[in-house]
Amino acid sequence: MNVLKKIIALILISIFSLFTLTGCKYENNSIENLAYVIALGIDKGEDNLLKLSFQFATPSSDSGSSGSSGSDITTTTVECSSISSGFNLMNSYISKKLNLSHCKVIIFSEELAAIGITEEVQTLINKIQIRPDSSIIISKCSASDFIENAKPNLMTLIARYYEIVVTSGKYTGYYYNSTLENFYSSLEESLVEATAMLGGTNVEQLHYIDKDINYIDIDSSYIAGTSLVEDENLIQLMGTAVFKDGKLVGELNGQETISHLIVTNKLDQCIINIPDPFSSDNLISVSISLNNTNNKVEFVNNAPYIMVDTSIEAYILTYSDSSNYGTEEALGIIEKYINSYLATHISSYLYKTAKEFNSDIAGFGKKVISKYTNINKWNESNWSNNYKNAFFHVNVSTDLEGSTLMINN
Amino acid sequence: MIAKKICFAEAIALIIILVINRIILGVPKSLLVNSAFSATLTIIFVSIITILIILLINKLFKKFIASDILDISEFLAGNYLKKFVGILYIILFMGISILCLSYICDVLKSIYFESNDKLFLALFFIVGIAIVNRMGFNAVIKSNLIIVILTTIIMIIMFILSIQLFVPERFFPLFGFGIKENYFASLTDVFAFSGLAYIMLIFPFFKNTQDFYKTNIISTIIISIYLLISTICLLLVFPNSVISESIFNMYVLARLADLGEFLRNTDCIYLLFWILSIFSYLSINMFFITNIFKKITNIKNSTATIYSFSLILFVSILLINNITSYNFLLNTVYKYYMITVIVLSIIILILANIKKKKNLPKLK
Repeated sequence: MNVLKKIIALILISIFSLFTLTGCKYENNSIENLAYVIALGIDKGEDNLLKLSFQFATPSSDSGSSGSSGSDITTTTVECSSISSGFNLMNSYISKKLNLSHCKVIIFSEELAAIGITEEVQTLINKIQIRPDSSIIISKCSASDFIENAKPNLMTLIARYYEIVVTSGKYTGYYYNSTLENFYSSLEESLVEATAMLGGTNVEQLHYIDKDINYIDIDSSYIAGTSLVEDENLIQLMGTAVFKDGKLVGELNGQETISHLIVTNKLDQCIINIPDPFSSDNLISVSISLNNTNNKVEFVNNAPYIMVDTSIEAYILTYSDSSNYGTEEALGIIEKYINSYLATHISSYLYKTAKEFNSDIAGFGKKVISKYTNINKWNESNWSNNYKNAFFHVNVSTDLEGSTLMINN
Repeated sequence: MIAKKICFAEAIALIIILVINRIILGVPKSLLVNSAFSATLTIIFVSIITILIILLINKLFKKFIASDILDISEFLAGNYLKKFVGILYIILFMGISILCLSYICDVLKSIYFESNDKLFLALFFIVGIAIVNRMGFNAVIKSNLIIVILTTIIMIIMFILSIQLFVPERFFPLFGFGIKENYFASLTDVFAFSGLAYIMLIFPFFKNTQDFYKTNIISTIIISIYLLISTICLLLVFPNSVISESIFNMYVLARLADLGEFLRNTDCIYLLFWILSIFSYLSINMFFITNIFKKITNIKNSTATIYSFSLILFVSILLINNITSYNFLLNTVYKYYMITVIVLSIIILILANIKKKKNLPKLK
């Protein structure tokens, strides 16, 4: 009898499971019913408040040709009054349910960022499907143009392309991957202001060289879209968008971004050019990597006095018959040149953030808050506005290791 | 349902599952909202107070070997007090079970099952709880031991992975909203140690009575460490405003705690083990509810009551219709109710000890 009861129970459970656990059909969540968004662009609307651009990955019907068909991408744009209503309009238009769980990048246009994007970022962080490690890009052009031009270069899969492109700043130092979570945290706290990657499209008309800049610094003085790369319309990331209270207040070029990464201890590796101390016509390319940066903040007459002490490891990349860097004395002179060159650039970057932007993007507030015993006193100090009164002292000490493979003695 | 004796490890696991669930339910968030940056100091402060309370409880229980608070209430003032205390405890366990079940169903609904009904999700838990309790106390305790070990490992991994996201400066300002606000206001945070309520009831289940005293102390220390680590993780990963505004802090932390590009989207793994631990926690609560009910009504077989209480639990989650009512019930009603029940239990213990002391000469 007991065995019979167990069999009946098992049958009932099986029937129950049959109707309840087959989620795909019941939930209407099968892959054919979903549209996977790879990139989301947000612009200021023309006829409505916002313009959303969606880049979709088109699933291939032929599983055998996934390699070539992986690059199938579609871009669609909709004007809407809010992000959520835009999603709904798009759901209705494409007759599929948007799925943002594979959204790799979120692009805001420069125009919208200048008005303020706090509300949009808060809405996005509240969407469970959007991963907090999605990258934030501020586009020099419109977000829809950026998405339109974003095509996988030297690879086929668009999602993988975005993953790689946002992290390649690790070895150039010209930009740093800013995730949705980091951006949101910076908006929410008073210790550090938000930054994001600066993006643009490579259009010939935008190519530009600042005539006032020393020829040594030209390569790193570009911002996204202005560098002299001859290629069809492709996206480019370079520089940093600087925010203050959720609004875009300025931009840093490649060189300034390197300085920013040095001060914030985030630089992995980059290449800089310095004047050749032994020949005024030449320059020396040096690969640098960061050992450590120590920041200290003191107050002089209530104005922050910020001391930046950074230690760097360097290798000379330049090699020619005319070069003669193999002696102890020569290396010492080059070290001094690197120290002076970097200290000048870092100092210039810091004064730019303080006097021009009044935005503590380096997070010196983190050093200051430990001086206060409770939150009220910290709030009263009004660090965010006092930062514009800051003055800086930068010290760089370079450990020049010599050259990589060849060196003239 | 025959309640069998438990060993030392099972007893520790029984107390730990409570704190794991309290952490998942957002106790670290409550501590952080009250104390801001100084929550870690507050936890150390509250832990010391709780350990002192535990030492007091241990001392008071020494004269009542293998008795629970219901037996002691009966000894003090007869059957009426026993029934009154029993009902208080049933309400306490039922209340937290309702909150817990409602919360996890809401979370699952918003993360994975948007179009499903909350009751439908609750049904899976209810059926499981009823079946496990039907199988007996041994099944509850032994499955709990396995789940606690696995969940502890998973949570330790999550805490280690979140180290990369730490901003140490978020410890400051050291005294949060001020010393006075922190330490005197945080005395009510002793509610984070909800294990105190279960300690009043578990003594009769110990194989070795000496294990009871050890379990109380060790489990409180483990709970303190657990709370401290989870609070530090939240404090150092998120700005304070994000913690206070986030509904499911631990899940938000889990979304970030992955192994870079090597292993992503690990939150589903954490969530799986949290569901298991909540399931185990609810089963334990159901066991205590039915056991107390059996004691105060003197019924011989409490099996049928499992279904009744499961049904009450199932229907009661409809009472909590939004996150505001959940927060109010957890952080105000439940918090003060639990403190009241524990204080009342300690008073009963003290009075019972006095009565026992007075009775001793008569016995001689």
